[in-house]
Amino acid sequence: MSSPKFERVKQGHPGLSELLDRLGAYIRAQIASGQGYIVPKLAAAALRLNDGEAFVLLDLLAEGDVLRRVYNVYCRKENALLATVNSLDDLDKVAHCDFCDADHDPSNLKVEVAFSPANSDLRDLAA
Amino acid sequence: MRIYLFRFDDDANVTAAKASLNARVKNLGIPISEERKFAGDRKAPMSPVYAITGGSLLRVKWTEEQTRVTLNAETTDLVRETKSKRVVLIADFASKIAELRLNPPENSHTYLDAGGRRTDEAYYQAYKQKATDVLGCEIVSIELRPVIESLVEEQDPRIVRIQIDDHTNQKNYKTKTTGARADVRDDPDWLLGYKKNGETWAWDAQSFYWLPKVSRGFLKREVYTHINADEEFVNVNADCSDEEVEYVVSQIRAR
Repeated sequence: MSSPKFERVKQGHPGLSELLDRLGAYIRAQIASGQGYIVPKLAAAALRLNDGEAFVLLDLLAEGDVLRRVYNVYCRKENALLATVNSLDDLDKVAHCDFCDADHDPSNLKVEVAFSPANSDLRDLAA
Repeated sequence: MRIYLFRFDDDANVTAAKASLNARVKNLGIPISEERKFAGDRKAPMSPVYAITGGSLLRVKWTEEQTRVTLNAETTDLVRETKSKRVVLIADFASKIAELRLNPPENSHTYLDAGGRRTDEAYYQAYKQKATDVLGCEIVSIELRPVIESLVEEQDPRIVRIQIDDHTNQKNYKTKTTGARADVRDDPDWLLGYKKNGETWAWDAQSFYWLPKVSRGFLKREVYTHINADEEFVNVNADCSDEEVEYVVSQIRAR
């Protein structure tokens, strides 16, 4: 099974076709193993790319509506995931940190860009 | 001391940036000098000390005073101590590289983030922006994950003793391993995980000591360094000599 949106992104960037295929396979494997989010640094490590390259490829898939950009918010002190939000504006709504028992100031949070499947296409791919 | 390591952006017009450097430095109020100078007693934020602009090399120094505010628990009085901060920008226009060395900020300074909050990050960002202003072209941080990966791999001989390893695996689990006076690579549990899955770990941060015996005489002692790849900086101890810092930076850039 193939995702039409994924194929459209490949067609729009023929020079990146092979990299996108490798990335697609990685995303499918991650989703199949229960990972809800694709993290650029992990994709980079798995595909032997640098962080910037992995981010650009993932962002291309987000532009093609294959993925959706989200933000993982961590407690800076404990490095614990507190929330995943859809926009930077939502950072002000991050919940209480149970690890520190405090409502953190934004400067005490660490934000990591991640990507999640935008719709059922990639979940179908993983099936 | 925190160190940011940069390279010039691929699209940067380095020739034009170098050609206009002296004019830009003067416009920014930085006195041009032919030699390094002591910071003196300048107090204001981002007080320029000197800029050495000869050849392809650039060295700029700023200084300022900040205040460390602590609480005396016995008297409940606030104790204010004035601390001098030094910031140095070093660039090589021929090699298209730059580095920014900064003393860590105190808890009372003048730098505010976009939300009006006084943060350490606002201090670091302000000087990174000032460095970009001086250089006259865009700079990008070098990727530090491959550096950590390389240092972990190099075992014969070991260049460093790894005291703390901090990585994330493909399941997005973060693992931190700490060895007291040892090397985490000698821990059987760590080694088992590294051999099985190490190739897919994302190296987030490591603390280690550069070993003098493989430094070809550059180091007389073990030199501590913390590489934070997530936040793209390197830390060395404040008592490091200029030669030790240069050794650390050159070793990192070589990987």
